[in-house]
Amino acid sequence: MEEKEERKTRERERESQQRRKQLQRDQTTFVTNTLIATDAKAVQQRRQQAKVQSNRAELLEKDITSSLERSDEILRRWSDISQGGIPEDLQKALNEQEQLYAAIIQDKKKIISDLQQKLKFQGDNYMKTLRSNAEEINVMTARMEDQKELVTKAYREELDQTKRLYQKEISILLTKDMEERDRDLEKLWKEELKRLKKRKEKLEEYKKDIHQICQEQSHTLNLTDLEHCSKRLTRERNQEKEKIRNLQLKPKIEWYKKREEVLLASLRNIESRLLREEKEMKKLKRICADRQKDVPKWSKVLSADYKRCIQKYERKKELVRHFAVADARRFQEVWLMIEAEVKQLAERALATDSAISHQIFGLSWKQPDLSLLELPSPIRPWKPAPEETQPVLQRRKSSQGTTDGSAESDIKSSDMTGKTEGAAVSVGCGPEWEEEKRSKEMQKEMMELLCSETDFLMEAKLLKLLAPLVDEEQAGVKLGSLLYTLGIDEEDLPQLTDFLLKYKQQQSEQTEETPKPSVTSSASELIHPNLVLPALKSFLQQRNSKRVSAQHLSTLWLAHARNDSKDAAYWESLGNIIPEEKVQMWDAAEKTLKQYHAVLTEISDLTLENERLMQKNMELRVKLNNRMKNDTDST
Amino acid sequence: MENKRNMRRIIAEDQNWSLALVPNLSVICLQCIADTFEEKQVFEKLAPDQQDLIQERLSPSLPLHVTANLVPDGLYWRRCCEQRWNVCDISHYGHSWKRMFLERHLENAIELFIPDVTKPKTVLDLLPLCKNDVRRLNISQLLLPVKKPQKGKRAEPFESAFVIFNEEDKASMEHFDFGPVLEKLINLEELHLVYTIKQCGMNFEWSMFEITDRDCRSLAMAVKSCKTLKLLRLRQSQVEDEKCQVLVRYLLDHPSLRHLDLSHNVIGDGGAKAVGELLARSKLETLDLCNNKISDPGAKAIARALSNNVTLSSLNLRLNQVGDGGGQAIAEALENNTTLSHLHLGGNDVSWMTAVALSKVLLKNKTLKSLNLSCNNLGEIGGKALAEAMSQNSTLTECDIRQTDVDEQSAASINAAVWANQRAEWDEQV
Repeated sequence: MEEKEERKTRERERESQQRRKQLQRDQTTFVTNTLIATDAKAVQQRRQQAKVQSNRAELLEKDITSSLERSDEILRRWSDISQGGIPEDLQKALNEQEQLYAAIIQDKKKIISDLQQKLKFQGDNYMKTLRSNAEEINVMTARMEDQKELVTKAYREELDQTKRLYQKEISILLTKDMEERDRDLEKLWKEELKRLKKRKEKLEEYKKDIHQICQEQSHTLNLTDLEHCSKRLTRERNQEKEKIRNLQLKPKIEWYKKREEVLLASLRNIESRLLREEKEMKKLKRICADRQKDVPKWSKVLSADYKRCIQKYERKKELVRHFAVADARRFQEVWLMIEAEVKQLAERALATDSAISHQIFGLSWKQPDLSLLELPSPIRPWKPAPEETQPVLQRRKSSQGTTDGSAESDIKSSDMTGKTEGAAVSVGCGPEWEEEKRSKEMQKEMMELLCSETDFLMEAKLLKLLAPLVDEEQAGVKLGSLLYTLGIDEEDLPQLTDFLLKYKQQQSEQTEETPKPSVTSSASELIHPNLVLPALKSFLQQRNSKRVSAQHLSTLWLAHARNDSKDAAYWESLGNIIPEEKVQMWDAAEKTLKQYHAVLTEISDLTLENERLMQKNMELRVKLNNRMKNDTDST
Repeated sequence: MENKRNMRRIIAEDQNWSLALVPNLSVICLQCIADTFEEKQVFEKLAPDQQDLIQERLSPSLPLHVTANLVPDGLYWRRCCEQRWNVCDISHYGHSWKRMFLERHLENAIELFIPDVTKPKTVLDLLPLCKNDVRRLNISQLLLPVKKPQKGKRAEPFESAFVIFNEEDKASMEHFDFGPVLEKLINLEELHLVYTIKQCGMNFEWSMFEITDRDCRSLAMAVKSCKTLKLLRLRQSQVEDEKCQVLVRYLLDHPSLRHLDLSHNVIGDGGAKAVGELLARSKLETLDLCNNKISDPGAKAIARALSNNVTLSSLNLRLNQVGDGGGQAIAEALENNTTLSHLHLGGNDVSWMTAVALSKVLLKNKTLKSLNLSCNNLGEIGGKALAEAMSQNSTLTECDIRQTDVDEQSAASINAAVWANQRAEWDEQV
């Protein structure tokens, strides 16, 4: 196939070369043609020249012979003449001779003119040839130009053709090669793809296997399986390797090798990870078991802790309450003490004032308004706020009463025992019995009333359900749901009744007209049904506010016990018992007194000096006397 | 580096000022060197690229003695050539601009040389400058000395348009003497001479177009002294047989001459005989005796030489009159010759007899490649003989039988055979 192609191309090449050579030869033949034409012309000219020359030579020769003959004749005649003769004959002969000469000369002249003519002709001819040569040269050059163009054109065509041919050939070859290459490539790709797919499937399988093995191992530590798997993998890999080697695709082999390495590495990774995770799991399990064992112990401990904490909290609460009370009491005491002190001071100040005005100014001291001192102290003897604290205290009292002086019981237990309150109260507080009893009855009635009044709060469905029941039971259930909806505990029921009663009393005091209800009166008399709702409302409000404030008991304690708005004024008034003008006056008095005092001290100093001088004087007098005495003695 | 340089550019106050317009200092220096080249030549010390720059800038009008031996072939010489001549075909000068310039310069000097008027120094001074580069001298005219027409010397009266010079000495009545020139030119290989005058105007004299005896002798001696000469071409110079004999006598045993061209002269049979002698005693490879009035005897002499020659490969006897005798003699000589490959016998008055003789040769000879018999009267017989011979020959690749009265059939067969031989040759070449 290729050989054929090659041969073909070679042939083509040769053909084109031959064509080129032909062109070249054509060209050269054209030139040589001209050359040869000129040569031929030259030869012809030469021949012509030779002919003309020979003609001329002939002519000249003829002329020579004829002239020779004539000259011979003339010479002969001359000899005849010289032999003598008559003058006439001589004359005649002379004439003849002259004629002959003339003939010869004429001949010569003729020849000369001939030759001249010929020369002229030749000259003309030469000119003509020159002209024609020039013309021919022009024509030749023109033709050469044409030829040149033609030849260049031909060459160009040849070139184009060759080019085209080669291009075509090249393109054909190229396309063929391309196709072949494409085909091969496609085949290769397909194979490659197939192999890859297979590999991928295998990989998936292995993955699955590995996954499975992993799972198994995680449970049972099945290393053998893994080994088996790895063996299989290696076997597979070897097979693959061989396959790849058989394919003899180096880059692919390398690629696969790389892949293999990666897979091996990942496999090893997975193995190690498996082992690691297994260990981890074991550890975790052990820890878990330990923890489980510990759990009940911990819970016991924690619950005990919890209980303790609660108890602690309760104690703390109690303490807080206790301290609140103690603080309040102490506050009051301190207050009273300071008040007394201040009052005493005020009195002293007043006394001083009076003394000053009396003694210094000599004025009559007017007793200032002592009512200030008698001013009622803003503090009143400690009394718990009736509305809020009462129930708590009451309950405290009652609980204290129940335990009969046993030190302290937690609130919880008291709450637990709250149900027996009524009974406990009745037991502990004999004188209240009547009232308690009444309240119980009242409570019941009140509840019924409440229930009937607050039907609207209950769900219609419930009511329907309750419809067939007996009234009392109905009331019980209703009460339960009502309390639930209102968020009131059952223990709070007595409070509620109390509140309702009081509310009623209040209402009655306000109105004054409503007749005081008898103890045994019916429920409607206990409280007016119309008042039940507002009463309930206010109760709930109060309860809510109490609940909120209960947390900050100690602060509430003081806040509600004291109103410190007037305190400042009170103390101010006590402080300002001596008015400002008086203070100024005192200041002035002090100043003058101080001056006076200074004068006095000066005077006292002077008197002291005086006394000393006097004493000195005395001593000197004594000394003098003594000297004088001695002098007199000595003299 | 570039950036830095750009950053450090100084902006001129003149807005039109541009750094690109200011030449580098090195360029300025080179310009200076180029400008003062006549006084001080600094060239060989420069780097090649700087040399190029200098070549670019040197003035072509610099005196030749400054540049000839210093500046190598290149741009400078190209500029010189292009400035001086319109047509510069460097391929004829071995692709060397310098050679071209120097050769043409020297040729010009010789062509304008007027004996006894121009000082010989003008030419002789050039020789040391161009002796290394000149390989060929193509002289297209040689002027004659000026002579007053009143002198009555019919032989060489010549009035020059340039100078009127009164010269009575007959010894100087000759052309330029090549002796000293060829002696100096150590690399000369070709010498083309034409003893003519290009534009004679109305002063035509036959003597203007012929070589004198003295010229011939001096030329012959000059050529003999030039040991490197390979080609001598002496055309259209009216070389007669005696002059030719003189010339040939000096050329005998020339060590390097390979090519002799005496075409368009009148050497005649005597000259041909002399050339035949030369053929026997030289190593000529090409002989051109075209248009030389050689007839039978001359051709026979050449044929004799040819039969013993082992160097000649091309013989041109175009436009002579060798005739059948000469033709047959040459044919016979070719039977023994094994070197001649080109033979031109065009326009030689040969007839069918020569053709027959040649056809015999063609059967045996394996060296002849080109045969030209154009413008002869070969006739049908000759044509047939040649055609027959050609059918057996496988070496002849050119056979010119135009204008020979050969019948078309023979011509066609001959051409076909030649064509086939040509193709075979090409195939061999490929």
